[in-house]
Amino acid sequence: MNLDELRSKVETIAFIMMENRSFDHVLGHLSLPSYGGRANVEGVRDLTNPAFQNSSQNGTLIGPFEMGDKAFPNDLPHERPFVTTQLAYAPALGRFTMNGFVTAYETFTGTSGVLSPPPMGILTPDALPTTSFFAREFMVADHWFAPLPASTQPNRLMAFAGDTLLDMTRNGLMPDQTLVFDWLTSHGVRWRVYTAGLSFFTLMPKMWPWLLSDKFRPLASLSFDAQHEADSTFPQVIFVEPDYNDSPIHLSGHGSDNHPPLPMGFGEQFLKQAYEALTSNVVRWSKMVILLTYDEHGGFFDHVPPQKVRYVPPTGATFAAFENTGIRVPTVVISPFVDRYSVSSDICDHTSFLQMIAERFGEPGETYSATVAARASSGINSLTKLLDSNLTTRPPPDPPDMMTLPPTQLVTTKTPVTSLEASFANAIDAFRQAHGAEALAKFPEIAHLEATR
Amino acid sequence: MACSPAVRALRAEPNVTCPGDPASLTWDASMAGGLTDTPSTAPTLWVPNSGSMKVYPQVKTTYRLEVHNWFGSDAREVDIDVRSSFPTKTLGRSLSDPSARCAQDQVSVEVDLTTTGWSNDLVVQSVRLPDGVHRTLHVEHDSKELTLDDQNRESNALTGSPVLGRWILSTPLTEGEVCSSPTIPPSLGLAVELSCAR
Repeated sequence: MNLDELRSKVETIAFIMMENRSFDHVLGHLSLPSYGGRANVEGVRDLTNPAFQNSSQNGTLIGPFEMGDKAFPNDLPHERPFVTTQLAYAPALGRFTMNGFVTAYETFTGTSGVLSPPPMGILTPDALPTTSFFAREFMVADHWFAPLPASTQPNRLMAFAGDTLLDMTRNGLMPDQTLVFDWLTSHGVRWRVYTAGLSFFTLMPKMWPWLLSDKFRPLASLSFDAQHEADSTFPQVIFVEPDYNDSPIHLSGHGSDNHPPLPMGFGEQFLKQAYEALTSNVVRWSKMVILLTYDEHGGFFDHVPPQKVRYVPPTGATFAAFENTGIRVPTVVISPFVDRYSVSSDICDHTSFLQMIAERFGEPGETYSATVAARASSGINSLTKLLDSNLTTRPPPDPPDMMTLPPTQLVTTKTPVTSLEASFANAIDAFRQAHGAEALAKFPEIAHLEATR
Repeated sequence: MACSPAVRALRAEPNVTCPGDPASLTWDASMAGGLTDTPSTAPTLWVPNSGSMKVYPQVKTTYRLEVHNWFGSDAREVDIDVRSSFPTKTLGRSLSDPSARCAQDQVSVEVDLTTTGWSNDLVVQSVRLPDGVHRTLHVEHDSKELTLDDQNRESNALTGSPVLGRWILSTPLTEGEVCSSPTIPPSLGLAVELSCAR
């Protein structure tokens, strides 16, 4: 799709970012012969391929294996030093060998001798009813990378700002960076965030006034808004957030962002709900692009080496430059502007979304930012490139029904263990202190959290 | 602020053993917890926050240490692979390992198997090229050397040798290959059939 077509044909862009799964872990099965063997998808074509085997500390090599959906005993490693281990750069060969995922897991968890280590698990379609539906009906982007070989906060900042002041997820509040919300506001673009739980942007104090505004609404209202809201106020850019498992409070009893140790079932239900709401107005659907991706790989195996894209930290950041992207993440483009059963192997990362935002809503020739433009010059394509304006508009297909899953962990509140959990807990306390009754009225989760302490 | 508990480590050493061999479970957690085995041979064993114990599994067993308090839970799982004769295991290392070398004519890596991972009762039955590998592989172990290739994919030259010890795996560069060639595999491995000596 060219830029003129983008501006004339696309009215609504929606962005859904889940948590912590790799491409091979979620969509790698697409190229296995037993699940259709899609030759055009760069997945795990052969579980016994020696090139996929990972070193374990006891001197054996362990390959990927099929796994069903389940809760994991623990989280997987995905901070910058562990990603370095996972990429397994081989000086003798001058390349990444992509076989350090088991070693990183054993080091991180203090375990040895795990015969089926979680990082090597490959999910199968029965565990992924909604995602499999998306992969069948729309476009799989099989070369979509997390921007940085690092964890959640740096990669989400790259997605929502095009820059990051962090290279690690930290316990406290996040730095107040300029975000895509500022860019959209300054360009007069209508935007809104729909949340299934507490928003990720609770972590960023500058966002708190917006959190309390009509810009942030519960996911349950999206379907009504999509069907009934006037064009003059309906958002041009929509962000849909899951219920983050790292939040200390879940009124439903569980997160839905697919962050381990969560199983995928809750996330599959969330994705179905988000898709059905976004597509509930057929007229709006006909001019809509939905991007579904994951913030980073979460410690799971992927066999495709990262792209060489240098990222120099901005002024105020003290970490060493990154020399390459992160690991591939599962990504699907959901739109009438992509064909059924299609695949794009164009090199993209989360800043591909920001490129498209600038192309659609900026002045002609305007780039989103110098950093995003630099990444484009290094080979990161715009999401626009993946769209095809010549397709006949089709109504949104219906996703498969899902059984209602029993919650595996009915814990409505929990105390933080990981950095991101601590960050969420600290942010909620600070948000509550800053905005008092207003915060409690908008987010009953916070009152529930306080009542249980 | 009160804290959720954490399991920092759970290790089984050795984790490839013969039936009845002793193995050591060691753990480190922020609080006392429950240790279970699957298949179960005993009720949940309540253990202090850190320690070790000897176990004598007769079959492949998964051990799970779980800690709970009012604020949350954490767990770790490890396996001990116990058999009298094992299905194929692939010994090997990533070529990102510090022992990896790429010289003018070959790529090599060392695999040092120690008693922390492997029972000293285990002996080699046979070795072969892993499925999907179509390169020449030189193997040095137990003061013996052998070469495997597509014409001779399997060998009994190491039959009866202990699995413990240092294995050196190497593959010659083929014509036109250099160390940076994408055709060089990311790891070197050897498929090994093992059994218990006693």
